[in-house]
Amino acid sequence: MASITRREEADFVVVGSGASGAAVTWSLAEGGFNVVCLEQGPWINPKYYATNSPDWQYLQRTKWDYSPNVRKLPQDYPVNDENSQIKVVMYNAVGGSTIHWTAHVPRFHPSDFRVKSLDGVAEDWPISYFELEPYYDLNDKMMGCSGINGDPANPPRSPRQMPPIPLGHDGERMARAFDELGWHWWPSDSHVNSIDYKGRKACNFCGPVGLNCERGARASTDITYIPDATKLGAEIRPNSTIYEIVSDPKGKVRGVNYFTEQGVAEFQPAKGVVVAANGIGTPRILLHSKSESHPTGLANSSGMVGKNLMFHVYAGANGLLNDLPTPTYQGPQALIIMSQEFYETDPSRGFKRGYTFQIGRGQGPAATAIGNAPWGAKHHEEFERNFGKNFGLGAIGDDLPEEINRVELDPKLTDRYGIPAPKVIYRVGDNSKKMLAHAVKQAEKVLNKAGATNITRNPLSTNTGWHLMGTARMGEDPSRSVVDNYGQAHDVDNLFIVDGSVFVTGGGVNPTPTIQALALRTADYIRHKRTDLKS
Amino acid sequence: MTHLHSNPSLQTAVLDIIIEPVDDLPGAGGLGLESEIMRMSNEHHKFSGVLIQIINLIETNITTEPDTKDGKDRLISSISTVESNYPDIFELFIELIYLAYYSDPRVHRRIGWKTGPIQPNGHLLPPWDESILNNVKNKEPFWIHVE
Ligand SMILES: Cc1cc2nc3c(=O)[nH]c(=O)nc-3n(C[C@H](O)[C@H](O)[C@H](O)COP(=O)(O)OP(=O)(O)OC[C@H]3O[C@@H](n4cnc5c(N)ncnc54)[C@H](O)[C@@H]3O)c2cc1C
Repeated sequence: MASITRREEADFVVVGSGASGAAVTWSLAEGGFNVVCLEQGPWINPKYYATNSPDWQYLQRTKWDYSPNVRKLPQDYPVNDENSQIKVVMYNAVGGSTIHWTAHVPRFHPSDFRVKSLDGVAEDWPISYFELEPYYDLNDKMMGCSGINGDPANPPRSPRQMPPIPLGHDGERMARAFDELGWHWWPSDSHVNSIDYKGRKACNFCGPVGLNCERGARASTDITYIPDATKLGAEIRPNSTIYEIVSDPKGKVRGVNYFTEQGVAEFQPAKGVVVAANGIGTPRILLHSKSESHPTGLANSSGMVGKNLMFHVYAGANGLLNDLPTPTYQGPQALIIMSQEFYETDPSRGFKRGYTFQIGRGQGPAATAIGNAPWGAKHHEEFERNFGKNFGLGAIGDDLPEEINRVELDPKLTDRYGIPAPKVIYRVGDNSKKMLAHAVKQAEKVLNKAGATNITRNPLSTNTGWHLMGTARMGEDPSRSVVDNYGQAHDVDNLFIVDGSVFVTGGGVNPTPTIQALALRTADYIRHKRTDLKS
Repeated sequence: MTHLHSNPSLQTAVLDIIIEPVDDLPGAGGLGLESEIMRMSNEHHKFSGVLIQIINLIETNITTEPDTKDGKDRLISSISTVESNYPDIFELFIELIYLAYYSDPRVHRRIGWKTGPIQPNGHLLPPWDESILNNVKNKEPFWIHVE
């Protein structure tokens, strides 16, 4: 410690600038706190997004791949996921994984917070949907939400900022198929602009939402929360890799040790620390921050740090829509409609909780060929059959927590600074398997109704570990959880966790609006109840 | 023409089998994708050395194929053997060849794809039409109310 450069003390240091870190940084700055947000990745200039390059198909599978293990950029830490049925994906930069996300933003249902009471599985959350609702609304305002009220599967809510993204011919065809089956569907809520919003342009439907665009049509936190936070005086310090949260003999945290881009170690003191490094990065840092007062890792007296890892489980069916007026690759890849016909528990199905159907469009030529056309004599025939016609219906299933699914520190693998890499141990549970088998059958029914041909089943997607949840969960019982219902660590009253780690259960929807709403709620709590941490 | 492998005619023949000629377009071998494949292999570790490794394996394996088959059949069966014995690296090889082939403007012209970056032009979709909701919005709310 003695040789480490010491920075000036901040009120709060926030670890990570992704979906949750940016939201909390903005809110704390707005509340008059002096905040420094440290981010291991760099700023990305939108000029260099892959969508601006003729080489975008190659970039999508190399430097812009979803997996840090493929990209191997200097800011990416390796993830040992050999023992995980689902592979981890994320992005490390200012904006975090929202640089890559698809921005599909359904909310949890009220029942998701009460799974123990309703279904006798996992645990209830220590908060309710309705306590979170104002923060969902605030987050929508900050990110910009396209969608429409009236969905019978969800509670009524305040209007979205923008009308829905148009469904396209393919989306309309699928909507009619759901109608014919008498099943629920609704236009997707998305943090993608359907009209210009807050200086960011409307989407022009180029396709691969995950590659981002210079128009700023798809919200990512580097162009939403962060510019607003810096205007309020927050400092974003990129290329700063935290390797340890420092605690004193009394167990309180005092700041963070980090490496600058040049590999120089520095200490950023702070009155409080907020960790927002995602469901893999957060347990990694906590487990690596052992000290005399926290011998098993920071905030880990319960032994729950790293445990209960949840992804969402994905399965579904694919088919060809041969008679549409436009190709299926036209339009945002995954933001069309969703169906929550099978969201709530129905005991007759043989599993607890449920899933949401989402639609995936066709892709560009290389991805179509890679996924569908074998090498050799049949190549051109198969390519032509699929290109502009293929289409998928995927289910995203509620993946119940199990302690054996976990993140540990790898004993050998390290990042470029020698910090242990996370080792992920995960297998799909029995409830999830039954749920997915059900989903595949129902997906086939919808595709048949839509007139799709060449329907194939996808029993489990494996490169889809983009929802990272549960590894520092919230709860009322300090022996069974890591943080309380405001994200404050049970063991350390000036340490807060705000990313997907704090999830008690995963719900059957994409998690980010819930992550961001929780982060805003934690920030609100700090602003009102922890003024002792303000200079 | 640059060749990545020391046996250029074998390399061309293999690539022409992976993606055959079609209409007036040569196959992936005859199209002259070598410099593009080389660039792609050099610019990212993912594909580094992949092509040479696979062609070497095919070259070694071909000697074990029965010579009752004609040249092309022997090559196809050698490629299949390498595919089953080395599935991971073979998958990368196919990905690399497909990426190079489907990034080529001549191929784009043939399949009706607009060459170049996908921004800033995008696509047109028919505008949002609320009447599509007529059916579903009459469904009774079915979310579960719990505090
Ligand atoms: C391809 C893809 C598609 C997705 N699509 C959707 C979607 O449609 N809808 C949805 O709801 N969600 C989606 N997600 C998930 C969504 O991106 C995440 O849920 C969300 O970004 C998580 O927010 P977070 O703040 O927890 O973590 P992140 O956004 O991952 O941010 C964590 C940040 O912490 C930084 N960090 C980590 N460790 C350190 C360290 N030691 N020092 C300094 N900084 C550190 C990282 O660099 C990163 O920037 C998608 C994700 C991906 C990858």
